[in-house]
Amino acid sequence: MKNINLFLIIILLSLCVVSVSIGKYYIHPLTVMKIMISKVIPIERDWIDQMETIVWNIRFPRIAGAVITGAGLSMSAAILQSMFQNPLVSPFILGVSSGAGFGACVAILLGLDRFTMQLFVFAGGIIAVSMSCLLGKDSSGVGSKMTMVLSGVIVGGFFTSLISAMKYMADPYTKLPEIVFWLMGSLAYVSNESLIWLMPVTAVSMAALFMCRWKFNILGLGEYEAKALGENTGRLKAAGIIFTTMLVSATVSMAGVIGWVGLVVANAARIITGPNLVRLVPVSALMGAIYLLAVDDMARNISDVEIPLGILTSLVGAPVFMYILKKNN
Amino acid sequence: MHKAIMEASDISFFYKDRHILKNISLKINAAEVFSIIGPNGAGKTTLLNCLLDFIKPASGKIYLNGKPVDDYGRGDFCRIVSFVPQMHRPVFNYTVEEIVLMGKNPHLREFAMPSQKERDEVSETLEELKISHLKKRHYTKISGGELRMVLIARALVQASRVIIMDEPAAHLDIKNQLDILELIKKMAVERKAAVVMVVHDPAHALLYSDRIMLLKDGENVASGKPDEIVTPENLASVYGVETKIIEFEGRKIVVPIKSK
Repeated sequence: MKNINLFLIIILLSLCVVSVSIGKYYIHPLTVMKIMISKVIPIERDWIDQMETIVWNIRFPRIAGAVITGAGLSMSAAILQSMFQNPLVSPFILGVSSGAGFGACVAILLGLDRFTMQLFVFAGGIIAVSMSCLLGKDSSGVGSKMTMVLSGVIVGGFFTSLISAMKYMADPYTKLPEIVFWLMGSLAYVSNESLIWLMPVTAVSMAALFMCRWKFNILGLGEYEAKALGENTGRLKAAGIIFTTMLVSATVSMAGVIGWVGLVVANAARIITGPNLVRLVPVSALMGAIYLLAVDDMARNISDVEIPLGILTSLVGAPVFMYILKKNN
Repeated sequence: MHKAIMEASDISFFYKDRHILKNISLKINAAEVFSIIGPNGAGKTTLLNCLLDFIKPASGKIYLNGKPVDDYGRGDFCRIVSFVPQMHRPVFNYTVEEIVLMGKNPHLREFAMPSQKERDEVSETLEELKISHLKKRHYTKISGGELRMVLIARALVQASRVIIMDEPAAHLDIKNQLDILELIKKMAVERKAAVVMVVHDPAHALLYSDRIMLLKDGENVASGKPDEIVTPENLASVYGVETKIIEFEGRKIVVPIKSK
């Protein structure tokens, strides 16, 4: 089982090199590796400055963005599916996506810069989930699975209608296309600056989720059984929701709403590893990173015009998911 | 007179304005099987939930080892008390080993995961219950009787001072019913465990318990030794069923005659 992680890491690293090398301006993979290594060990330069700029300032952030987004969405999905005892749960179950989308719309309408917009998106996601949690709360402090999911749907619906209202008000020649494009998701705007400020959030939440992953199994047995197994369920649920929300909001603020990644990858990974999150979480994360990186390579290389990522992930994801469902009944 | 390991004193519970448990007191000792019987809706499960500290009684207190349960953290409580649920609706296909390992949860430090040591302990317990062959099987694909054994294994791995069971023989065929009840009796004797169980069938309670509490409408109608509690008079007044108790080869058997 250790081997599958190693195997996926090798695939991921090779895919990263390939992804940096392909694009409108082709750079030989060997050169790519040399440019990357030169950051650590000084080696003789046999490449031109433009190549280095493309590698570090254009392709690297985008690829890192794809890796973080794919991994973050997929590991969150695996954990949330366990927590909600339902393999059909997506990372957006509590309304992160609509809240974040609303934040993006506000920022676009106000004509804010990219950086401030990311803050708005991140905050939007957090606010939406907090609303779902407050709405779904019961006397124990944390709501039951069913009320949580329902309040997620309600909050999602609320923000979706606000998004529609803003689309209606937006200038159809300048703002509206920007909103529509953002909502379809894209990694084109990930910059090194945004990576740097999102790094602490994603690193902390990924590490926290990773460390608690065995415990989340216990939540998957239901409230009473988890309590009988000595788990402080309210606290663990809260930790799960807080860290997945931070992680998912961070990815959304980088890449927009990319559907059909977490849901599909977590289910595919579960077929390989079984439901035990000790193995499922790392395999989900690695498979998610590989998957989204591959799809993003398609998005920017298939045609001259970039295809929005969200369109491709659902085009690929929906049939794959159908297949998984049919195969496993 | 030995000291009770678990004690409920004068507990009451309300659901909205319905009085579900009325001033129940009980003492549970080590190495004995304590059965709670009564018709549907008598408050048996509510009482169990109070004992498990899932819900707090509106009044009265529950003590574990002489200390109020409110003074225990969830983890501390569950290192002494374990639970075998009646219904377990599995969603994900964990292996039997993974499920039993979860019993080690209250013994692990924060962020810790079970190691080889815990795994060995699980193997021993499975061996003891003679279900080692199930270890790597998916617990979603085993029979009801096997699943009940697995959940008992999990409880034993977790804590065997007090084991609380909700209808351990429910939904099992007659052989599995007897096997499980024999095993429970054995656990109480060999491990000095205090077993508290809700029992559906008064006949089982009569055969396999050391003490019985008979509940009706949230009230303790009678409690004491099995043959003092499971009597045709009590069964008639609580269940509304005419019964005969016959002795066959030294075993007392409850025969329901007709509903009144």
